[in-house]
Amino acid sequence: MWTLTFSNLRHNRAMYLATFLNLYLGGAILTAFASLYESGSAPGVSKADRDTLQTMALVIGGWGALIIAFGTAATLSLAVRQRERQIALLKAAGALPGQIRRMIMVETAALLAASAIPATPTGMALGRAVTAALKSSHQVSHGVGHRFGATALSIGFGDIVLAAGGAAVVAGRRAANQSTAAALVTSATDDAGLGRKRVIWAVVLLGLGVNAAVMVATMMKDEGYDAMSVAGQACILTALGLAVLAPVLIRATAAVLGPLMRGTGGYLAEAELRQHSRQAAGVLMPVILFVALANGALYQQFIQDDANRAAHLTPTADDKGVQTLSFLVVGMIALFAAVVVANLAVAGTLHRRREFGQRRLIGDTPGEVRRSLGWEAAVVLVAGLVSGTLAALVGILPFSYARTGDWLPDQGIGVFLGVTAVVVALTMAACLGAARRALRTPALAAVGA
Amino acid sequence: MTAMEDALRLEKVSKTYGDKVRVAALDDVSLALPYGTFTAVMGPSGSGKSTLLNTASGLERADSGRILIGGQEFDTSDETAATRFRRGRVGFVFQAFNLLPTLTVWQNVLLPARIAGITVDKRRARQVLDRVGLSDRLNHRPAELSGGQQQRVAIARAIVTRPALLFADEPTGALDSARAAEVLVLLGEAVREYGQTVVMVTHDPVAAAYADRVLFLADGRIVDEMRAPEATGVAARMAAFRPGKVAA
Repeated sequence: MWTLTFSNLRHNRAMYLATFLNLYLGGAILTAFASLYESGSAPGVSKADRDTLQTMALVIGGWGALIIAFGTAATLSLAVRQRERQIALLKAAGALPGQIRRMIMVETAALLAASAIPATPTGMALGRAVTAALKSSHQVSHGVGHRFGATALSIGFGDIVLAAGGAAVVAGRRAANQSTAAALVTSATDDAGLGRKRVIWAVVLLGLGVNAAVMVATMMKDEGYDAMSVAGQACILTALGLAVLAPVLIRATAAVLGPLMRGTGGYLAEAELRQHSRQAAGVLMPVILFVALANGALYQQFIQDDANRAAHLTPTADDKGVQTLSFLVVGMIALFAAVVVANLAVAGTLHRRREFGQRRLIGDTPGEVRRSLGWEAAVVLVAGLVSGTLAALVGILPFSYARTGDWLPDQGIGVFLGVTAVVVALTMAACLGAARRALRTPALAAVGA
Repeated sequence: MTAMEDALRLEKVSKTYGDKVRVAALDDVSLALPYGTFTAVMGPSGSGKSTLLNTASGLERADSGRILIGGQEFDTSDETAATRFRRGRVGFVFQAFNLLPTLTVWQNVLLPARIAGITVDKRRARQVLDRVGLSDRLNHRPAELSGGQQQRVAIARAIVTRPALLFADEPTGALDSARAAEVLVLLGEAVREYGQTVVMVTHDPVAAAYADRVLFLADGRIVDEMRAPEATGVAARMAAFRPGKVAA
């Protein structure tokens, strides 16, 4: 099985590189926050410093862990789904379901081990940077040392291992149990119907998100940073709830934009999105998280700044420090979401070489294939911007109300436009760049592969 | 005979592969196929059959020589130009069917017209699907059809926009003999009833016998041809290749 694993690694480079990057960044961010916890529990650290460090590690690291686990699971399950055909061939050649499951576990373990090597020093450096930022904003005393040891490593990588392991078990079970004959036929539709589990998850997450929003608006007036952290939870929980519904959101958006798409070279894009909505849903999930998190965190920070300014006229050094810190933290998690978006868009597009080849043989020019892919990306972006903004508002509106008495913040839409520009540029560049590469294979070779 | 009367004309077309060891896949090949003819191309593995089909249809660029379709020179300078030239002039049927899995039978058949921006002639599409015996499967997706049915959809797709030239690459390669016969009869009808010109690459003497003419290729050259072929004669001619050249 090891031989097979390494030959697989060589042949599905794009997807494995995507998974590797994901595990690496996730591992680095999580060990960085876990190292704050470890620094806080060192002997000789004052109770106030310990509370600050550990609260930060648990609250922010916790939310980061949720998003990273989500992104990792999405990437891994896409990696396995892309190989359904290869797995079916293995089964046809006599591989037992248990062997398939083991193969997927071994591959995941190999990637995890490889990603831990660069993730450890990166996490150490990140953790040190966050500690330094905490010190310079006087949130912890200068005597606190940064500690990065067994606790940081085990908590940080533990989360990634759990997420990746869980995803590998689920994906492996699905791959192992699928009938060989069914997998060898190119799948017509991907039965993306909403499972009962998915609906329950979505309802629970959305309910918790709205609940947190109501708490901020009703019970947390005049509570600065606490209100901010609960409002952040409202926004992340709502975003996760909407992300769970991604396949439905894709089909709904494609249905709404359908008439527009059909007239402008997006006919096949519409069919693809409605029949294979899972693929696009994989990209949509991190887009929603990115838009919600970036908008939510930035607007809340600006509202907080303005409220503070109104209260004590001049911002203190601490306020500035908190601001820098929160940008740093949001930046890291947003970077992770951005990498997941780019990863899934690139790997998903490269994987469709054969389909592009077929379209070119029927008479699509390369430019027309790209235009149709542009439409697919546009639908993902519209769905992601609408849902992500909605989730961000669930956090922003009550927070604005709690801090200023007005539901609508008066910060303007500059930040929103900036976030939108980043996510549009990123998604389009990933999709169309990968398409350009996939189209470099001559049509006939692409179909024969 | 002028070039205008030929659906496909190759003039001194050559194509080599490889950088260090140069292998001539097509060596100065010239041929002319008049409108409304059914030609089979045969030869041992590595003789250049597929290269002939790919260069003649503009899917691969020839190193030298001219390719004319309906008297007009094929512009293969880049893929966009080649694709635009091919639209409406050339249809394909492949061994692997190559239907788009997300589209229904009906949508697959209408796709080339839609892509080329031609008004879709729905009556003709219905007629053609009726002809290939699939008018009751319009809303099925390819995965729900048998191999023979998928290939019949592919043929309907290739002939619905009435391209003058139809290239078929081992169209019966994935089918049993009864299904293969149905497909070959349909290709013959495309020639006789719709006036299309069919070029079919095959290794099966029985399939080749459905054509009006068989061209034999060896080492990138046309070495022989047979008119009104019969399966036994074709098989005997093919057997003659074996001692000389071991299949690659």
